[in-house]
Amino acid sequence: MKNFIKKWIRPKKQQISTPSEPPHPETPVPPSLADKTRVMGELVGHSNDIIFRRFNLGFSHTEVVAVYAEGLVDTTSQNESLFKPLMFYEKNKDTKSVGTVQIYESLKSNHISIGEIAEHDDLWKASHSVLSGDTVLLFEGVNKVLCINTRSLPQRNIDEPKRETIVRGPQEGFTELLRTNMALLRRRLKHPDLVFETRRGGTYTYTEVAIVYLRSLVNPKIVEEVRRRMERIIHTDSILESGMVEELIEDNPYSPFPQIEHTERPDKAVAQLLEGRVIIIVDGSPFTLIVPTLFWQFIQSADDYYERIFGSFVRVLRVVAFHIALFLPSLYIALTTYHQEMIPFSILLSINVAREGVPFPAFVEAIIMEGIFELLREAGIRLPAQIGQAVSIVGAIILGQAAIQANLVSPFMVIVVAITAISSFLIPAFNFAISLRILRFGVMILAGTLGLFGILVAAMLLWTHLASLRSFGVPYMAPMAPLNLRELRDVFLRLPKWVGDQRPSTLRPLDKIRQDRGLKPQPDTE
Amino acid sequence: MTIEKINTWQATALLTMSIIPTAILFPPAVLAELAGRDAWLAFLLAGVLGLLLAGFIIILSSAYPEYNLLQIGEAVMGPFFGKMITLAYVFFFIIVSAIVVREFSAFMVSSFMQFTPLEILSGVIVTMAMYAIYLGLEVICRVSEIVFIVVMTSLLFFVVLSIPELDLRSILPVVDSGMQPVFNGSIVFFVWTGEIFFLSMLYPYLNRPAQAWQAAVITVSVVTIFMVISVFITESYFGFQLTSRILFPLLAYVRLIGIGFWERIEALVILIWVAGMYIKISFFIYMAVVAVKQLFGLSQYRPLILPMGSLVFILSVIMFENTIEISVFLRDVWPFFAPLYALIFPLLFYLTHLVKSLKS
Repeated sequence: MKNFIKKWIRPKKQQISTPSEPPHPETPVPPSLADKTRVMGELVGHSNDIIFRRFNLGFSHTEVVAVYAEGLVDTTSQNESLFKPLMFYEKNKDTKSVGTVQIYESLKSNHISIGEIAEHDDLWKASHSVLSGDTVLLFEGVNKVLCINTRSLPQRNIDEPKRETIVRGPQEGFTELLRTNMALLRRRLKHPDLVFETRRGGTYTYTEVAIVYLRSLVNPKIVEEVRRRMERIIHTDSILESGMVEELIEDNPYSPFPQIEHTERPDKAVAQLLEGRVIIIVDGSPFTLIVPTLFWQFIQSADDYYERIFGSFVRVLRVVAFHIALFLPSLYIALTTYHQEMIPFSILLSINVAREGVPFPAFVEAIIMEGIFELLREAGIRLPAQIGQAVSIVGAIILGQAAIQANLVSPFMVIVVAITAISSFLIPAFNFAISLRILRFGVMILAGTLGLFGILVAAMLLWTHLASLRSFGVPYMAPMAPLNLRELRDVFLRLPKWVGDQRPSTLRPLDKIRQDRGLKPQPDTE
Repeated sequence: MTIEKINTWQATALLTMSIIPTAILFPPAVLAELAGRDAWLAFLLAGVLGLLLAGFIIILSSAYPEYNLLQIGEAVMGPFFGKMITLAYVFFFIIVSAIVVREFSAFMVSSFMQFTPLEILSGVIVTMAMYAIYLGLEVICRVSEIVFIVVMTSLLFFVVLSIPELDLRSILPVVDSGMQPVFNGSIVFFVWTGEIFFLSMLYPYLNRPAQAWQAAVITVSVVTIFMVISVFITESYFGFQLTSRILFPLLAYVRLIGIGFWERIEALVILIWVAGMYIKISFFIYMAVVAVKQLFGLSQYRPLILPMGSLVFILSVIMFENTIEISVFLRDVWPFFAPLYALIFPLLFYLTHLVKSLKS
């Protein structure tokens, strides 16, 4: 097992240097100001939202050009801390006879009262920092340009995570802005080992992507593997959502099961970092990716860990719900069509009475009802909340009640579909629930043709497929296959905080010990 | 392609799952016929023989820890005889896979899905096995871990449920008609316990070869103990004469079990058994494929899966006329054929190895 993980995680070829952004043409800075302005203008494409502000330094005749994008800059701080000191600059105070280079250096170190500034000797990079909201200063005769952070990017307020609501726990979620998300993580994890590695992907969108991990904890091979796979995002034209990154870095693109979990919750992301995982934040998306992901993560929710015994109870419930959501309609088909002897007689009697006038075999009946349910669900998601009400009325009354009265389907089938639907709502991860919905139809077809044997065939094929999956070198079904009894406890149950003194060994963290032993609370012995 | 590694527990699960599923089909009836009341003793004796064989196989494999049985054969016997014996093993693995597939579909047709053509069942299970083999030995092992737990739990459950039926008087008097029937019976079941020689096919993949004996001992013991108990149960319930006349005595017994209002739960037991059968068939066809790969010195086995699966499927359909024929074949022919591969060839390898090492 150990050897295997080592082998798998080890990169195929030795890494020399990982490019962290898309390739770009070398554009050296020309000496004269006119040339600089011209080249800069060409690079930003003479777009109307880019402003070229010419002004004189202090009361001298040294001309400076400030380039910035309208709407992306914070004008107050730009005016107060950048333009004001420069325009009131008094050359004589510093030195008597100075060249532009000395003026430039003095400006940089004494006059611009903004924290983050950067120097570039490449105009292409400078033009990109303009497009990210920086103000770029062009000087005559200096072979560098100055990029000053005056960003004030349009953004949403920190909001409740809409897709992952929990009863108890922090109620703030990630937003679309990378810096805000990084701050949310840093605020929860005040530790020097928390590392953000940013890189850019998408030749057009030039999206910033951050790889986050705890240096002293995560297995470096996992980070290495993440870096290696993240190279792929450089060569695409756009990264609009973390889902696009997910598709480019997952292990098995043909699997129906999601192999990378995503979360909107900073507290969940931090918990995953602390187990030795890597978080990937994509600028412009509130959904951060968690790698490596294991199968059982999808039936866990953050508030399992925040409420006392509740977590264990609800986890068992979810495992049951998972199986119901996948197999119940198929079981109904198989039992009523092929194995009626297995149903206790009294139940069989009422099923058959109810099915009396139904013209279809159970399989067709089930496909129809499940199909209608999928239609309703999909209709409900896209509609505005006000009209969404109407969909449920149509679904419940017209399709449910009327279909039974019209003898189109039997009441038992409606019960089965309803239980299945409710069970699938118990799965906290939406992407995982989608794969269940798709697979359910496959299992139903097998059950309709081969009966219970078909269900077993489906189960074994799924199990085999799951056992073969890996997420970033970690077996997807761990700790179940390969079996690790000690860690399996925490899959079906949620162990109390004082029990979990070790991190999951599946991820091979550098620091295995999570906390001291013997934290179990005890009443005073006095 | 990385080298696959399996741990001791996975090897145990895989080997147990490659013996038990068919062991519970025909042997109880066949042994009850051959050894009568002493069938349990015959099972026990076969278990002891299996343990001895396992010890020998581990000695042989640990002499060549990097090689599986066929590679050992080719290394020891030289290129010509080595390839000949590998060819023989290819045939053995193909035939044994076909027999197992046929046992599976014959059982399913006769007891569970009477109206389904045999070919469908064979085809489905072989297709599933091909998928598992495509994913590799490691995946088969991981699947077998869970299947092992499920199968063993259900078997244990079944044993516990039948404790009230146990009647030890059914095995008295012991060795009434001499040891000869017991030996006859144990030779038949040695085919199953002798399947522990597959350990030598797994040996190079074990991550802790020093623990191979644990896997072997646990496997053979579990199989033997379970078979002894099950023959106790069926003979207590039906008596040995009736047991020998029922084709699948254990199934006949399971049919009678009911839990409260819920009767006819044998379908569940059969389904669990199918899961075990899936592992067994996957592993057997896997070994056939590996043997062919070995024979022609190929670098990978994946292109062979489809032809091998088709071959096994066709063979499984045309090999026997009916289910009784399988039972007779397993009683009269197979016990004198299988030990050639389980025992004689490995013994030959080992003796040659000894002679060679004495020379040098």
